Amino acid sequence: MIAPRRKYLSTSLVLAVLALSLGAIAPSSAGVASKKASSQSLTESVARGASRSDSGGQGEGRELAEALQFAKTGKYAEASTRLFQLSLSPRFVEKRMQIRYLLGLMLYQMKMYQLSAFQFISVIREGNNKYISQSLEKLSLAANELGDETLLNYAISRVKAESFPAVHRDMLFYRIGEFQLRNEQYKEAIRSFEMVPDQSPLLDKTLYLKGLAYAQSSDAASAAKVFNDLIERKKEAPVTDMARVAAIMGKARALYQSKNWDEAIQTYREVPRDSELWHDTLFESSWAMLRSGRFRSAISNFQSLHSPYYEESYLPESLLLRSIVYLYICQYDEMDKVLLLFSKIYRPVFKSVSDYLEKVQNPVQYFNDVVKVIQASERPGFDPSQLHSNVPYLLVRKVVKEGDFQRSYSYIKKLIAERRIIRAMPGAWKASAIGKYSLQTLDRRIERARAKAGREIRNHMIVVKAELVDLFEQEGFIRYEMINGKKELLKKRLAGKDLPKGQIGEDNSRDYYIQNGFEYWPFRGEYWLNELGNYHYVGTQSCE
Amino acid sequence: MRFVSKIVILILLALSSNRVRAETIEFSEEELATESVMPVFDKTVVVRERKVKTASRLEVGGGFGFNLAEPLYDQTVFNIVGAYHFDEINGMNLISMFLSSQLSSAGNDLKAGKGLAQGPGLPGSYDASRAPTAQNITFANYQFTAYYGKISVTKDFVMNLSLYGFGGLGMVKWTDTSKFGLDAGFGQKLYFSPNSAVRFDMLLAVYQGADPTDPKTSPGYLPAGGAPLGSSSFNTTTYFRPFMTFGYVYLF
Repeated sequence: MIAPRRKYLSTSLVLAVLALSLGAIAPSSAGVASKKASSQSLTESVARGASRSDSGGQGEGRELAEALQFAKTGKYAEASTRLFQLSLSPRFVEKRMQIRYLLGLMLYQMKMYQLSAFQFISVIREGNNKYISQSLEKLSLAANELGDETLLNYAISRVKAESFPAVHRDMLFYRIGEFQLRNEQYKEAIRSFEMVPDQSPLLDKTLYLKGLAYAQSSDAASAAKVFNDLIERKKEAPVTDMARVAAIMGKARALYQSKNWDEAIQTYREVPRDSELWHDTLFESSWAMLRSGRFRSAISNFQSLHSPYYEESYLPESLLLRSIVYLYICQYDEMDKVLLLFSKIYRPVFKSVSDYLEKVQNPVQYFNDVVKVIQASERPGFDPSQLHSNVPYLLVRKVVKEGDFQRSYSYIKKLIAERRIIRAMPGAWKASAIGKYSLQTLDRRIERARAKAGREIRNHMIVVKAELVDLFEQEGFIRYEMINGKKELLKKRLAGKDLPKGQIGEDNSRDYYIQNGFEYWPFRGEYWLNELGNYHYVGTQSCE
Repeated sequence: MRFVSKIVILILLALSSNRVRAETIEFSEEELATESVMPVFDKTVVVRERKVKTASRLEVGGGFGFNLAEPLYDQTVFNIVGAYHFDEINGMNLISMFLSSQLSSAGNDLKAGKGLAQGPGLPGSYDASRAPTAQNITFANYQFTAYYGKISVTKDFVMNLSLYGFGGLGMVKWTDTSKFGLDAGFGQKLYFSPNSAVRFDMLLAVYQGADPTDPKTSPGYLPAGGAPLGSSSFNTTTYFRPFMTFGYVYLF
């Protein structure tokens, strides 16, 4: 029998995905504020750099002053070319950290965040220089733009909050909290999230993650309260506002976690149907319905969830859950059909995954194969049945929703955008030393990021494979229960006891009272978009 | 009266006995739909596993209809229809309508002189049957199916339906000549099954032909009793004729 822990695990996973999607979908106005503020502080930094350069030797000072003059007048490309040359020159050994810091500033201004980050890291790694704190601050901003976990972790683990500019401090606390949450330091994460001021544009995301931290630390009551605060805060927002809907989902999950099934079901119902998160409520609320004994309601949900609209979604657990509900109401024929469907869909998936994992070892190929499917699916008229790929489409859909892959994929796309900026630079810049260095560095970085994303895909496939093995075992148990149930039924029949009413489907006429003027549409085999979520199971309990 | 009340009682009895057999299944209010919005998907598909698939299928049928704006001749038309669907949206159809040359009741009245001024030099009668008439109109059309849906006719009887528009060109065969014509229209099909449907079409046909009210020959009108005249004996006019047709079609 499937244990509730599976639900908890899958909920956590979905929560993590949600947290990400919240970040990905809700545009961060903090980013805009950060850009304005950083532009201002960069000008100040350049000015400080200029005053320091005057104190050097006359010749050296003149060359550096020229570079800084370009920077001050907004000629970042020229400034970066000069500064890169100076950074390599042995004559400027003593000023190398200052030059690299300034070069980082120039590259940042040119939106070459990855390249600028490398300059700041080199300043920080060198240590023992007065540009470390400024470089850490700028590195944090660049890492924030790129959304690269490694860089962020590197920066925030070294930065001191009190020396961080006040204007960016909310971002710092948010990122620190996010990092701590990921490392299961829930109490610390909650403390960091509490440091984000109420006026911060990051507050919605912060509250969501704070609620998540409470939920993951098994404090469901506090989690529900935080999610409720977020719902209240967004009560003027549009119905489908992502932060509002995510908060409702979070609250429903917290209520489920505290075994408050009825309220959880009620809260799930508040998720608007035209929201992207509504689909998740179909499955999640079915668990709550099963736990509260609302079998008919659960099966009604499954009718939508197992419609052709979701045939490309990876939902093995939902099929087993449906069969369990049928077991509870002794609908063995329906149960058998669902178990057969489970085998029909997921045994080939298991075989494909096993073969692929065995055959392909290169992580980059994992990434390339998945991206090919993503790109194909984005083309108009895409038909999954015509897709020629070694990776099943429904598995790709599952993997691309995983948080780590989404972060890596987004990071790769930003690196590619940065490379595009470099390729669009004037010929002289591209032909210069910094131009060649930039392209080589980025190419290498992109390749490594692809390999990392490929490893993440492979890990998810391994997890899927293991999960399917587990689920096949569960299927075996469920099938055993089904046969056992049938056997008991036959025993009763032989003993001449009163038999339960006929199985659903034996009587094609499913007339029943229509309540309060609501219309009943008999199921005719077509699935209509506007009917999803409105199916009602009219079968009855067949247990004696 | 007694017969009618017996029928009513029988119907009521039938309904009530049906209810007695029915099982009561209670749904809580909150489980019933409260939103009219639809779920969102990356790609919106209105219907999956549609019952009536028309792509790459041939459709043949026939029926009858009316030439709605015909004053002189019988308005009844018979039609045959053929269509080929390239996909669920685009297709071609061929509509052929057979028109009657018989005079309408108004035409017969005019032929008998009813309502016409009698006297020397006056047209005592008007016989439109002496003029050439359109006998057959055949159009080849492009057909665009804009909508596929379903409709609940009764509580237990749901029909699929499709709405379409079409337009094209064709030939109009007159008694003694043929002319080109244009048409445009729209229609609806109500499906009994994936293979059969009733079809309702409304189309406007535009074509040229002899004007029976404007003969070139003396005395300038068509008194009853004369010999039939050819198209060359009449001035030409442009007809804008709306047709409404009904029919049954079968999909292969």
